[in-house]
Amino acid sequence: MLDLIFIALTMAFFLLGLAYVRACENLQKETK
Amino acid sequence: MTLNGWLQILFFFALILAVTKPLGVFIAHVFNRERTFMDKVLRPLERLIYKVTRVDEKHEMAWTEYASAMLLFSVVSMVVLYLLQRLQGVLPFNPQHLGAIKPGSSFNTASSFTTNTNWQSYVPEVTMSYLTQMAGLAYHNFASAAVGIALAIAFIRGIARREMQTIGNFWVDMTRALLWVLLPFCLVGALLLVSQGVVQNLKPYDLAQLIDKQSIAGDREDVSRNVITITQGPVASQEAIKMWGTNGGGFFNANSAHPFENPTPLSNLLEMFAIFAVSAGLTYTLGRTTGSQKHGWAVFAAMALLFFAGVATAYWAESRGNPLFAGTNQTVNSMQSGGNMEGKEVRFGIANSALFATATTDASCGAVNAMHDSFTPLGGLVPLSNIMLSEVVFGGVGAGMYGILIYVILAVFIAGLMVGRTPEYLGKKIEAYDVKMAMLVVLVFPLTILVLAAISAVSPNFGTSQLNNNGPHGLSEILYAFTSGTGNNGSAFAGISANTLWYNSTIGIAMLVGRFFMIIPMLAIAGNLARKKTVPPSLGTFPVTTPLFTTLLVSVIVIVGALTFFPALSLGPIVEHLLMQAGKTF
Repeated sequence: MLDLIFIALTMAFFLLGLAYVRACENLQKETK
Repeated sequence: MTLNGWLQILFFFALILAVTKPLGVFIAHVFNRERTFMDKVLRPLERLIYKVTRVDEKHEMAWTEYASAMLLFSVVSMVVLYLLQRLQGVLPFNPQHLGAIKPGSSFNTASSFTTNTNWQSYVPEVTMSYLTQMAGLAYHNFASAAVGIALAIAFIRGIARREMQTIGNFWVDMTRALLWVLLPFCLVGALLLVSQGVVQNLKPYDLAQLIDKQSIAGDREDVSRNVITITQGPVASQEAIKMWGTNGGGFFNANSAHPFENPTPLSNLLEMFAIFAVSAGLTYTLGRTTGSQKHGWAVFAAMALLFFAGVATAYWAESRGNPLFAGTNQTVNSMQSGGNMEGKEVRFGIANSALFATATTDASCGAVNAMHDSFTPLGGLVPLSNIMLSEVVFGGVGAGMYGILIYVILAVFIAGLMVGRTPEYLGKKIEAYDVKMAMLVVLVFPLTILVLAAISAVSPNFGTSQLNNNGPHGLSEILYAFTSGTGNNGSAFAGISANTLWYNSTIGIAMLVGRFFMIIPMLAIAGNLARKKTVPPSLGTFPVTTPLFTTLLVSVIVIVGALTFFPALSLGPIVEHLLMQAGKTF
């Protein structure tokens, strides 16, 4: 069970990372 | 402090200064695809890698694609390392028959080695099989260092390019970092370490019969034994990249204080040299690639100033000894090292312990040859402060360069505010978006450290219960753990039993945030700078090549660090120092 939690946590973090990339990109477009 | 000690420190710095230009030129050649002396061997290998992995080396990436590729590579590597630890009990190269590592520790270690932190909440020699050490940890030592170098090069390209949408190709940059900058030097480094006595084998651990039975009275239990275990393993190959890639995770729990990892004063010098070499070289690469060599040296000078401030403080504090030992001879002489020798190796003494502690925390290395927990409060303040200054004093391979470039942007911005002009950096206007991203980089670091340390410090069940010391020293131990994790340093202050579900999980998350949530806005700045036109310098342009710029850069780094962390430091090592002077220790 803990294995699933930690792997899911890892995946969730990196998906959050991709969302952060998108957010920074959007801010870049808005700031132009 | 002794003349001999200072001469050794100056000799170390002279070595770093001497290799800065040749290494910087070499790195610039590698990433600009100019000719190097290793091309005959490595270029065919590089082409083969691209062919097998179907990478088009001419494909250029926007910063968003570069960041996504980096994230994808990191998540896959991290999950593989997690599974390797969980399955090591049924995998080969495990002569000690070590079992699966617990989930919390596996997550922490996977996060730690993916992020170039190499924080170790476990005792490696009784936890990790040779396969996990080699295919898991040593692999990540190379991969995470290569990612760091690739990112620094991408940032430098962003500064150097004009009106371009791209900052390079992540896969190509990483492959070149691995093939040219890491592997050849580590091969030579490992052989040099073996020549000094670092072990390199796949043998089971040796057992040695003691002539006299050994009895040790412990806090929890007394130990009595006739036989001791002498650990073995593929140490030298891991030691070389541990230092050259500023990783820091030891093959043994005692890290570079262990005689099989760091047996002689010469191996100690080689290891310290390896910590700074690539990062110092990158300052020259910065100057060469951006066409302003003086700027590269100005950044180098800022790093050098902060390095000497740190090493002088640590050396002075440790040389003074412990005031509570009044009446005991703590002076240096031919029979003793003098000063505070608790937790230090006699073969290194005060000067080389203080120097190592400073270098390993200036960079995001985290290897230790002395126990930072045993330093005097002010001596221990130096490694803690170094990490809190974001490890930009030469810094981790690549990470130090892109870290200090964020501060360069802030320094230029502040200079622009002071004279009322739009700030410029090497001909690029620094605008609102760049400063917003820089602030995201600067703010995520203390936010993670202070919030998690505060929760731990007020939680007796899972936070303070793991401390071996109370009072301000206990707070320093908690603060150091989260600072080291978030700063991707990995050195331990020790004194805290961090192999628990709470510390494994939170420090694991802190390492991920400290690495990737700082890299993403940094790459956004690189992409934004690459798109800009350059403007010719005018009377209002703040020159980034002068001693004034170096002073401003140092001031910005110190002021940002001090404003953020001084309250926490004053409750930890500073008050501990004052109480020690009053006769109280913890």
